[in-house]
Amino acid sequence: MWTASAALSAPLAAVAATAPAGVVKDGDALMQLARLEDVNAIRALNQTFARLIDAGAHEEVTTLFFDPADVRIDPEVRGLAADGFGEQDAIEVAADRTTATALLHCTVHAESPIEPDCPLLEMARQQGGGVVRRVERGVFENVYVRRDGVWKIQRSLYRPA
Amino acid sequence: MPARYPKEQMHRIKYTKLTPEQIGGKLSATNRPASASPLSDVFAGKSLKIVLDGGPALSYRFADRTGLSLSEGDAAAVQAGYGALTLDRVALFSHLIPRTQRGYTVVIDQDSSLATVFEVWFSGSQANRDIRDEREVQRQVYYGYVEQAGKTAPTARHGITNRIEGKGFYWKQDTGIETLEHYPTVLYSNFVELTRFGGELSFCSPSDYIKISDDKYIYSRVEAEFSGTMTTYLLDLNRVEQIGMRLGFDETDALDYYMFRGHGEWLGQIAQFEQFGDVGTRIATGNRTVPAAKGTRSVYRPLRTNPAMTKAEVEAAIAQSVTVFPERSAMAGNKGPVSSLLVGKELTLRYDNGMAIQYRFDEIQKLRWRREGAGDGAWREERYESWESAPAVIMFGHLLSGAPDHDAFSIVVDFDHALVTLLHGTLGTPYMANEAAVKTVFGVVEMKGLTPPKYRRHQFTDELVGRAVTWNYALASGGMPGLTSMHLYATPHSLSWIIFQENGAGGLEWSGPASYVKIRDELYLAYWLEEACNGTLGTILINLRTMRNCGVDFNGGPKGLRLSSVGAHARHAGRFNTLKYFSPKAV
Repeated sequence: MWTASAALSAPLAAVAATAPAGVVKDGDALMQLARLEDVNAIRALNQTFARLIDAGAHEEVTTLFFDPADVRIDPEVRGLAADGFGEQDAIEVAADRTTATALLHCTVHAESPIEPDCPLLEMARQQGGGVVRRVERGVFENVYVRRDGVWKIQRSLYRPA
Repeated sequence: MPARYPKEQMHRIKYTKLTPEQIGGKLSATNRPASASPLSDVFAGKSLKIVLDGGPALSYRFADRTGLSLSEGDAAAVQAGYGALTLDRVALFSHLIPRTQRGYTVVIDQDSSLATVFEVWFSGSQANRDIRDEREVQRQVYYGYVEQAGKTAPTARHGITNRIEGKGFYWKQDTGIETLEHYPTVLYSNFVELTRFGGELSFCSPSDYIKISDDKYIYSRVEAEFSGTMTTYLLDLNRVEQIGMRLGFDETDALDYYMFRGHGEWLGQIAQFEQFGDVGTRIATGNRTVPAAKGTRSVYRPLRTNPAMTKAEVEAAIAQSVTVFPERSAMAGNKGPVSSLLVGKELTLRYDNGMAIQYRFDEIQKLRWRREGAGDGAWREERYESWESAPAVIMFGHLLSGAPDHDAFSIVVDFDHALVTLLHGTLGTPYMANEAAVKTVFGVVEMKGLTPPKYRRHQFTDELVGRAVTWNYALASGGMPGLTSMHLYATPHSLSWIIFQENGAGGLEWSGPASYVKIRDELYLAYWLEEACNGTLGTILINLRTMRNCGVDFNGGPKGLRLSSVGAHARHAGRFNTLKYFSPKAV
């Protein structure tokens, strides 16, 4: 397992990206570069994930997942500030570079439906209301897979911090 | 002439589901809008090209005061009849396009050259599957300007606004038609048809509000879920004058297409609840994604989500579920404490209709009752809830278990005066089985130590008429209004409820029959029936000193029978001065 929180320079990243996992050995410079490039790719994936969640573009979010059937976006999450992504995102890439995990600390704008249902709520929901809003710190626990050199999200679970 | 009351009020009329073919046939029989007032010749002999943002360029040639030709974009010109009226330097004209079910209503400010164009059409289901009633007039509003040779195109535009939100007017058209029209939201309006429907109830329709200048605005409503008729007019706030058009099919399916001029009276201005600085140039839609279909608007269609049920369906649902004062109710987030004042009391509520009910209040939420001199004399046990809204004034409610009409009682007792008023709810009406009905019954309290009055009773009141009061039921947070509505007590016999949008603007609105009883000064018992809707009977005791209500909702439908508490905090939102329009007059 390898953890990183620093970025690579572009030329090194280009070299590393071409290094197949099967031909580099642990500790090799190329291996380290490849893993740094993995971290960079996952970090970019996370930024896109946050931006699309924040925009409510749930259809587009599915394109970031390895299997769209695995998309489970917490319906209460309406906005996402990825201010914690980067130095604190705790990305861990597996030794074989085919899977990775990350803990993404963030500020979430969430909405809970007011319950139980009643006729006034029916009207309120029709015009985008009938909810209680809250802002909370939370964590996305993401699992990633790399296929054909591309990192995708395999699972994403949100929990309040 | 005697007052004209319709056989059925608007929400009970079964408007014919006209087919596109029927609509086309009726439209082909008319050439241009009628008008009781002389039409304007402001455009006669002139040509105009109207450039619209996101819409077709409209090139008009006006032959005279009744005939025009129109080219839409590059299309060939078509001839049509039209009518135009002016209010100061603003002109409004309207026409249909022959052999189509479309037309335009155009407002032009001759000083600024700015134009607002309503493209209108029938048979809307072809373009928008959400439309299921072909007679409902659809509209798309475009903003633009009249092209002027040698002049730069203006960058300003007319646009939507909340600057007219909260206003109300009495109008009398040149046709003799009188209405009260309130604009309590940015999406809907509330109107009382004094002439067409006798002025008993108010009704609500999706509406557009467009600012032309600081004192001139366009108002347009479509009577969706009713006749589908559109009424569009330009109004002058200071002079209280209007010019406009009405297009649709009435309850006999006859085409109503006419221009009108009207004069009115100012009814007042109620409060707005947007942030300061918000002048309503956008509609707050919260978490809702607004469809992009042409003509899309927010329309409350209550019978789609609350379809009529048969009596058998209602009975089957009730057999599955009866809920009496559940712990959680979104409508009771701000209810007051449950009262213990009744506990241990034994009394008889003797009503003026001859009914007398004996009570024993055993516990804070358990009572026994029996009808005096009826049946086997056995006591029946019910769960109840009660609140002391003012000293010695108790509201409580309970079901009459086993009653064939699933009767529910909402009762206000004033122990200081030994008076009682009962709102006797029952389930099922001749129109819908999943709809409540109610009767108001006055009476007295008989109890050890109390001597009731012989003549005095609580009384119906019109003291609330025209008032608007907000009610926060639950959970305002994060800039959202939570579950908050505004009541508009629009007529002595109806109540309208308005749901606030995310930004505090009024949003969707609906209304139902209602009644108001005065219990004490600033203490009123009200009910409203959500008829042709979800069928709920709402009963509340409104305390305008504590600014809180307590009450009971009674509903029977797909989820069974439900009696639940209500409790909300109030704010005054102002008043329309409308009472004089409801006094019966000699004819």
